[in-house]
Amino acid sequence: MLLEEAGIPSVAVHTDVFAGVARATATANGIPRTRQAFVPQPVVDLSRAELRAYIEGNDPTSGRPFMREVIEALTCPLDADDLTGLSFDRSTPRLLAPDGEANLQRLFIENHWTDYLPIVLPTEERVAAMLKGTSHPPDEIVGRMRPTSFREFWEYTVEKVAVNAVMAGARPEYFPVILALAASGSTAKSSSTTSMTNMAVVNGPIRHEIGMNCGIGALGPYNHANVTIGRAYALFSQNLQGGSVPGETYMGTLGNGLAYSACFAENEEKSPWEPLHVGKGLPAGESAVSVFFGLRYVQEGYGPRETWQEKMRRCLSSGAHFPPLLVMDPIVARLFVERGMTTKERLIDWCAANARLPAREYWDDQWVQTLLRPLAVAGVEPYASRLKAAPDEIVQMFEPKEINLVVAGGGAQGAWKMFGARYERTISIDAWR
Amino acid sequence: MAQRPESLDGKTLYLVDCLFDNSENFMRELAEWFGKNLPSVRTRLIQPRQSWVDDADMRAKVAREGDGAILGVGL
Repeated sequence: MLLEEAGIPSVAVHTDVFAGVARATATANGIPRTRQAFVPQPVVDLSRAELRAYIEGNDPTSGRPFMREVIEALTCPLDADDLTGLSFDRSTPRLLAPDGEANLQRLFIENHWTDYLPIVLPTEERVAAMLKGTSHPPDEIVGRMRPTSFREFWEYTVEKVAVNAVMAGARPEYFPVILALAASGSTAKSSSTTSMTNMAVVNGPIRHEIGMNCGIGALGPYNHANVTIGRAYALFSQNLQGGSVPGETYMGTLGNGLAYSACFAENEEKSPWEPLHVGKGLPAGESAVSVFFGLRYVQEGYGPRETWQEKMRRCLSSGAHFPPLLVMDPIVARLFVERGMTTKERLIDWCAANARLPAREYWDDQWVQTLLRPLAVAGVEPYASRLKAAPDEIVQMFEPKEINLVVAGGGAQGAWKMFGARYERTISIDAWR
Repeated sequence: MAQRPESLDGKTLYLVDCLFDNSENFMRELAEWFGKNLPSVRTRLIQPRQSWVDDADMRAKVAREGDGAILGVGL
C-alpha cells in the first residue's frame, strides 16, 4: 500500500486461505481495491516445481490464470472506484437497545463479542460498579491493541475495559489487575496462524487481597479471580482490538484451548527463589502482572529424578523457536535447590546452555526461517553465528534472558510444565488501583 | 493508488520476497516465468530486512528504480 502511495503499481500475492484477511486488511487501511492475486495454500515445504505449477495454474479465488491476474493488476487502468478510499467511523454506540436476557445473549454471540459461553450482561449499573475498582476516570485511554502487526491499532478507555470485565464475571476488586493487562498492549487473541494466546502471572500482595489461587489447581478453573481475570483479558483483547473472527481477524489454524483464560498467581511463599516480578526489577511489595505470549506448546515432567538432565534437554530442544516458560510446583523447586540451583538464574542458565540443536535442525523450522533468518543475514547476533554454523554443529537455541521460571502449585506432586512463551512485559497493578 | 502503464514491456518489476518460509523460492520461480514468457520485463528480487517490519530504505529503492512491484507470499 505504501508502494502504491509512492506511485508504484503493485500487486500482493497471498495464499487463498487468507483471501478474507487480505481483503479486510486492505479495506481497513482505506484501499479496498488494492490489487491482490492468490495461489493455493500451502506454499511452505513445496518444491520449486510445485511452486512453478502454482504460477502457471489458476488463481483459486477467481478461477482465472494466476499470471493473468498479476499482469492485469499491474496494467489495467484504474477506474473511479479504485480512486475512492474508505473512511470508517470506529465509534460504536455506548448503549444497546434494551431487550430480554436471551435476546441480548444471542446478540452478543452473533456480533462475536463473546467466547461462546454465557456472559454477564454489562448493564450500566454493573459497569458503574466495576469502575469503582479503580481511581482512573472512565474516559481515560488505557492502551491500544491489534490482532497482528500488519493490522490497524484500536485504542480503548477504562470504561470499555470495564464492560469486558463485567462480561467475564469479574469483581471490581480485580479491576486493577485487568486494567494492568489492558495497559500491556499485548493481545491475548493474536491472529497468528500458529494459534497463540497469552498467559498472565500475578505477583505481590494483591494475590491475597483478591483471593487468587497459587496452590493446588492454580493454572486450572478452580478460582474465581484467576479464571475471570484471565477471561476478561481474553474478551477485551478480542473486542477492543478490532475483533477475533475466524477468517477475518483470527487465522489460528488449530485454535488454542488456553485462549479462554490463562491467569494464575505465583506461589511466592512456598518458592525458594525470588518472585518473578522482583527478577524483572520491581520491589517485592509491589503488585504486578507479567504477560507471556505464545502458549503454542506445553510439555510436562516430574522430579527432578536421576535422569532429569536428559529429559529436560529433550523438552528444551523440542520447543521450536519460542523460549520456555517453566512453571514448577514448590516440591520441584526445592529439589532443584538441593541440586545446586540456589537461584532461578542458575537453573535458567543451565536451560539456556542445554537447549541445543544441530544447526541443520534449528534452521529447518518455518518460523526460524521467517523471523530469525533475516536477522541472521543482517548480522544480528546471536542469530548470525547460528547461521554460520556448519549443518552438524550444535547451536544454542535461546539466551538466558529469554527463559523464565515461575513457582506455582500446592505441593501435591513434584510436577512442572514447560510452555513455549515469550516474555512480553511486567506491568504495575498498583498504578491502576 | 498508482496509475498503471499500458504494458510491462521494457519495465522493471521488483519481486518483493516478504520473508515467509519458501517465499524466496516462489519469487525465483516468478522471475523465471518472466524470463521465459515476457523477456522484455526486467525483474529484480528484493527483501526487507525483517519480517513484518516496514523497510523504508527498501521501499525507497523500489520507488526510485522500479516501475512496478509484486509482493508475496502472504501466508
